[in-house]
Amino acid sequence: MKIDKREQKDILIIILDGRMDGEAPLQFKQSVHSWLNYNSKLILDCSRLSYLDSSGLGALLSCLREAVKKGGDLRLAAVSSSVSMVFELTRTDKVFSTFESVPQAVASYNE
Amino acid sequence: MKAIIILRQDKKKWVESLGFNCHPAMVPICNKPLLEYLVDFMVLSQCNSIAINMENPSHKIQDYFGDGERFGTCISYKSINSEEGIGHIIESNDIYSYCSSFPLIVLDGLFFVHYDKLEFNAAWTRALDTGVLASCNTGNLLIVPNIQHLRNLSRINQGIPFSLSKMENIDDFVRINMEILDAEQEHYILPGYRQSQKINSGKNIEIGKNVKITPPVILGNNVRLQDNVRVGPHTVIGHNVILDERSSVNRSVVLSSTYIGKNLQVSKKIIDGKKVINALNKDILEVDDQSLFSDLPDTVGFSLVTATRKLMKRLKDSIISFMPDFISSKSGGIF
Repeated sequence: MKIDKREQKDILIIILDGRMDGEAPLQFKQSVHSWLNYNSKLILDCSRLSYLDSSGLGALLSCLREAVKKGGDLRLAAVSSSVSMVFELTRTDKVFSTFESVPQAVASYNE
Repeated sequence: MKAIIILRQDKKKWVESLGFNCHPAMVPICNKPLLEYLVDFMVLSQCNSIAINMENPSHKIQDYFGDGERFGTCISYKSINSEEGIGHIIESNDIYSYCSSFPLIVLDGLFFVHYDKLEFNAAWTRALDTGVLASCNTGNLLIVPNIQHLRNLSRINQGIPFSLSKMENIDDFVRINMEILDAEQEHYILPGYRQSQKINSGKNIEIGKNVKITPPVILGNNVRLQDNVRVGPHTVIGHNVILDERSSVNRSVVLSSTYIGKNLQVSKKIIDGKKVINALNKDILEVDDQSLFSDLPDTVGFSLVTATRKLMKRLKDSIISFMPDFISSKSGGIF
């Protein structure tokens, strides 16, 4: 899975491209752990995230906890229907704040 | 009475698009193949001979139904071409030669026949007198007192002791399962045992602690419901299924040989091993995570392991109960 990022003011937008399984969750956690030293307001752009398994979900939850501890949050944008199904099946659909697009997720931090 | 069933190739597409690994005639409806309901219908109609005509014959259908003896009839199989019309198919079947003096049922297409086995005989006699042609989007059902009546059928869909439901997509599959669950469990011969009104369960069911089953529910054979599982309402659980701890399944169909992991919530879904189908928007998710969903091996190993464990436990308990107290205490707990 490819992980990219860009900053918009004090918000870090993380772009996920591919499948969050196998080695990807660990790589993701390590990246976010270091980025949280600079930004605690995170948005995951999930428009190109095609799949998430239980370890990937665990990584997202772990990063959410870390972000919240630092006074921030981890919000999801543009989640596909298949990834949404994983959240629903694992009862984590109410855990994350989810938005239809990145701009909407950005706007939510300004409210 | 004689019967001819005609199964065409074009009816396979919706099943294949969902990745169901079976002929559409064998799609399970409340844990029983669709075609078996139709065979039951024929047998209740006192058909002593059924000819199943198929484009691309399926050995799985032949293996399942065999010669028909276990269903109380005689079943034969014939291959047909896509160009063959219904008239030609009827005439080319061996049983055709008997049909000048016997009633004939022809089932052309794939659909579900709603009937009530308890209401059958009286209403059936009325239908036979006149002959009937009943239709739906995915096929026709013809009943004639004899072959000469084929050209003189009245197209009647009311006042007959059954109705047809089309079977051409996932919505139809879900709807028919739910209709039987909700209101028609007693109309058909369903596999398993009726535990109470609207709960039907198979053999070798293991139920853990604090499991809640809310009717209407159908459970197949070799089902294991672990601790704190919630099942139902409006749920069909297939054969050889494990629902792991604290999972919850409602308004869903779980097909056979499926494992559902801990703490999961399944609502309005069709689960086929590691494949999850959203019954509302038809999205399909292949889950490559065995802790969430997975296929299970076939039933023989599952039930054999369980049966062996139970037998060993019973043996151990029997031996201990026969041992005098001082011997069992001196042994320091052999077992």
